[in-house]
Order: sequence, then structure tokens, then C-alpha cells
Amino acid sequence: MLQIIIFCLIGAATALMLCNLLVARERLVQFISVNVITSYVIVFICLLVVLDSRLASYLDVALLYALASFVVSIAVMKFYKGSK
Amino acid sequence: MVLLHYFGWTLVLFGVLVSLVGAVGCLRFSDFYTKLHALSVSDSLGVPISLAGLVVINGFNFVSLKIFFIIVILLFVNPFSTHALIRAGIKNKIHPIGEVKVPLSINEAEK
Repeated sequence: MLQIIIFCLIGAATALMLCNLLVARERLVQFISVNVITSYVIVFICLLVVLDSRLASYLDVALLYALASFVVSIAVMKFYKGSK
Repeated sequence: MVLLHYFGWTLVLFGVLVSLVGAVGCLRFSDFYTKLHALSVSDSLGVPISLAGLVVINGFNFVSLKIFFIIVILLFVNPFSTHALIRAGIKNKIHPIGEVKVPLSINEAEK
């Protein structure tokens, strides 16, 4: 039961960030939303792995996802030019 | 052992709730810097606490070690990303709503 509640809370947080992604006008705010959704997806993957040990290889995906998110965010912010 | 299990789920629930509060704050706040403030604080606290709870639930094995690596990466990565985002905001002259003005350039900020 608690697991279902936690999955629903992660889903609600992700849905709120998706709403923010669609509503926001500035590109940087949209980029924040994508960055935070990445973190929520990492938590989701780790929760799946803990609940079902057959999915243990997905943790490597989560690890690479975290690293790729960091590299992409630094690269995009380095070369970001537009204000809106 | 059962107590540790419940403690782990409590940590996960707390971390997810903090993340949810941050997401609500991002929708409620008005401008770029306040949204980033809400999200960076909640993201830096909520996600590692959730993952620490998963480590407690899972016990000490190889999966927990990998989750621990993810926690360490996120603890280093989130402040760097936030700093890069704020720097990009200042460079692109995004002003906060209200009377407070950010410097128009990074060089001006460093003077």
C-alpha cells in the first residue's frame, strides 16, 4: 500500500513538472523542469529495482542518466544564447 | 529488521513529499530565480533522502552500492546545475519580478 502511495506521489510530482514545462514561457524555466523530471525518473527507476530485484541492471541506466543529465545541462547552459 | 524496513520507507516517503512540495512551489512561484530556488533546494534534499531510504530498505549489497553512487553523483551534480542555470539567467539578463535587480552581466556582478 505504501509503495503505491509513493509511486502516486512521484507521478504527481512529475505531472506537476510536466505542467510547468508546458505552461512556462522562458526556455530556462522549461529546462529546469526537464532537469528535475530527470531526478524523479532516477528515483522511480531505483524504486522499481528495490521492489523487483530482477531489474537490477536498470540501475546502470539510472547512473548513466544522472551523468548524462549533468553533462547536457552544463553544455546547454554554456552555449545558451536566447533570452525567451 | 522490521523497524529498519519501516524507517527506510519513512525516509522514502519524506523525500518524495519534499520533492512534491518543490514541484508545487515551482508552479506557484512567479519568476525564474524563485522557481529555481524552490526546485534546487527540494531536489537537493528530497531525491538523496529517498534514495538513502531505498539503501536502508535494500540492506548492504551491490544494488545498494550502486544507489549510493547515484546519491553521491546527485549531491555533486545538483548544485553545479543550479549554479550553471543561474549564471545563464544572469548572462541573458533575466530580471526577477519586483524591485530587486540582478547585475546585467557576470563581470558587473564580480566588481
